Amino acid sequence: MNDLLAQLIWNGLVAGSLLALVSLGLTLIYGIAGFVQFAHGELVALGAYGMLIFHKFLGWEIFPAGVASVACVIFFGIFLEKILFRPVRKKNPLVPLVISIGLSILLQSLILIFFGPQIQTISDRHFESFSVAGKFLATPNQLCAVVAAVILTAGLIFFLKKTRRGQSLRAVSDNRNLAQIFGVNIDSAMRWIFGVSAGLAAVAGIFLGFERNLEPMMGVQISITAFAAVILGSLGSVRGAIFGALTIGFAENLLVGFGVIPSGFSSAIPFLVLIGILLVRPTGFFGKSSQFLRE
Amino acid sequence: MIEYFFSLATIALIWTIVAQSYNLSFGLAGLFNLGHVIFFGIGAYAAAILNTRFGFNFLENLGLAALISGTVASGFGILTLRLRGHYLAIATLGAAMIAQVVALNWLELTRGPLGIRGIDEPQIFGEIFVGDTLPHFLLYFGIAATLLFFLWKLFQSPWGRLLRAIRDDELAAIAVGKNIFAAKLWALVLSAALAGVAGAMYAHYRVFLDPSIFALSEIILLILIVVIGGRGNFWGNVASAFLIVGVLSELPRFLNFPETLLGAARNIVYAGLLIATMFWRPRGIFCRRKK
Repeated sequence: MNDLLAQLIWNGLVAGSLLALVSLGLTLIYGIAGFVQFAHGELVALGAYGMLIFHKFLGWEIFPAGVASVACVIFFGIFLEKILFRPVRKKNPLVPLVISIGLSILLQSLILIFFGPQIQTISDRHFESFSVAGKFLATPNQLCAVVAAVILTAGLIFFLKKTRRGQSLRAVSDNRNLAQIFGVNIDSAMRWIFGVSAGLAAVAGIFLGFERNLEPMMGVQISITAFAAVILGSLGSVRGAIFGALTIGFAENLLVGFGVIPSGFSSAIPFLVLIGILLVRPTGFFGKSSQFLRE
Repeated sequence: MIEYFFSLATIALIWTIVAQSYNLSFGLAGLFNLGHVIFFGIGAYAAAILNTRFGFNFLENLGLAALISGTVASGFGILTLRLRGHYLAIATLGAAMIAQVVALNWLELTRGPLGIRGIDEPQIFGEIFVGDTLPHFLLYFGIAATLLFFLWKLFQSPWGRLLRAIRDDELAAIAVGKNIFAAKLWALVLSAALAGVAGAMYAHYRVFLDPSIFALSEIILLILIVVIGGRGNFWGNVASAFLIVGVLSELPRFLNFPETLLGAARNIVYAGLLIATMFWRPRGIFCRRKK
């Protein structure tokens, strides 16, 4: 029993840290650009499919292939901001939200047409799993994923708190007009935020691609889980996104693992948790009550 | 060919009703509820189960589907209407996910991914309307026209104006003493009942039902119709439902896309259209540009 618990907690930690990378990007975009980027999960999928191209089709080593894939997705994220979201920045937040819904379906269909509907794997190599302290099994990929997630999250927090660029981003998030008056370039702030969050999404996508399989719809499932995580911890809040992602990662694994909820229903768990929390706190766990009126 | 035309027109009629019901809650009252397909799906499943298990006929099912969808919506509304903006959108999207998962996994009730087969064809007053596509179309046209007439009256009524006021400026509506929670809840319940009727019509027309009715692509289609028709624009939405479901959805087939890619090609058309409309005509293509 002890072993099962340890295994489930480890699996929850892996799922939660990868979800945190996706959720951090979503929450940053919400905080600074003011809308939920519905197509964020498609960037995760593109990261994984990029790895498929560079590693499997072109035969590059894992590390350079990963860097190339992340770089491509970062440029793609910046490109999307420039052509789709910049022109509608001053409009009602509903407009970019609906545009990103369209974008999500568009990218998903393009992936389906280019790569086919079948399930694919990045690597045919089988990763040998090893036992940790005789309690639970872990794969090298899971270990790297958790380490990478911790380093990237710490790096992101350092960037936001300590660097000049990060401080200007937080200023834009607090009050866009005031930041602009003080000379923050909003265009470049948006470029940074879309680039950073696309990069985080792509990293998560690569690990997820090794962990599970690739399929055209994978982005939607990840976005939807990440939405739940972000809303759970309050939109725009960085610690909220981490908290929400870990909560959902653990909840999914523990509830299914102990048979509280049948495994067929597992994709409903994020939303059961979400709706439960929203009933008590309509703006999420770390939400301010003033946010309630502002929205 | 004429058969094909009438069956397409019938499907377009059903989607007109669903889109108009969404137009009532999203377009008029401004509730950005991404889970509206739940009510369509619940109506469809209610009709399918009541018909195949308990032998209720088409006409009874229309009423029962409305009742069941409306009841679910009142619970749904009490839970979610205190949320706003993006919180409402995501929570209701989650509710749609839960509905799909339940439909897939509650095998005793819904038969899961196998779907429910052998639903009766729509008939009313005995056997008059069984069989052909033209009588089906006429029957559905009659039902749709009646429902839409009442909805149109509702859009013009003082209550319709109240909903528009809530959408445009909630604080002002509170300030003049309107009970906005009740108004929103009623808008949601009515729109759900209407979507439930459309669901029952859909289930009886297709005679087969599976959980894909709750899929994200259906949600996108619904948003697309209302965005193109214009939020709160009654006739714009009738036109856009026919334009999109009747014409555009069949476009990839005429362009001879391979069968396996039809869904993807259709989604690309929808997505491109959605993005273009939001860019250039966020108030709908039938609305003159302002300013």
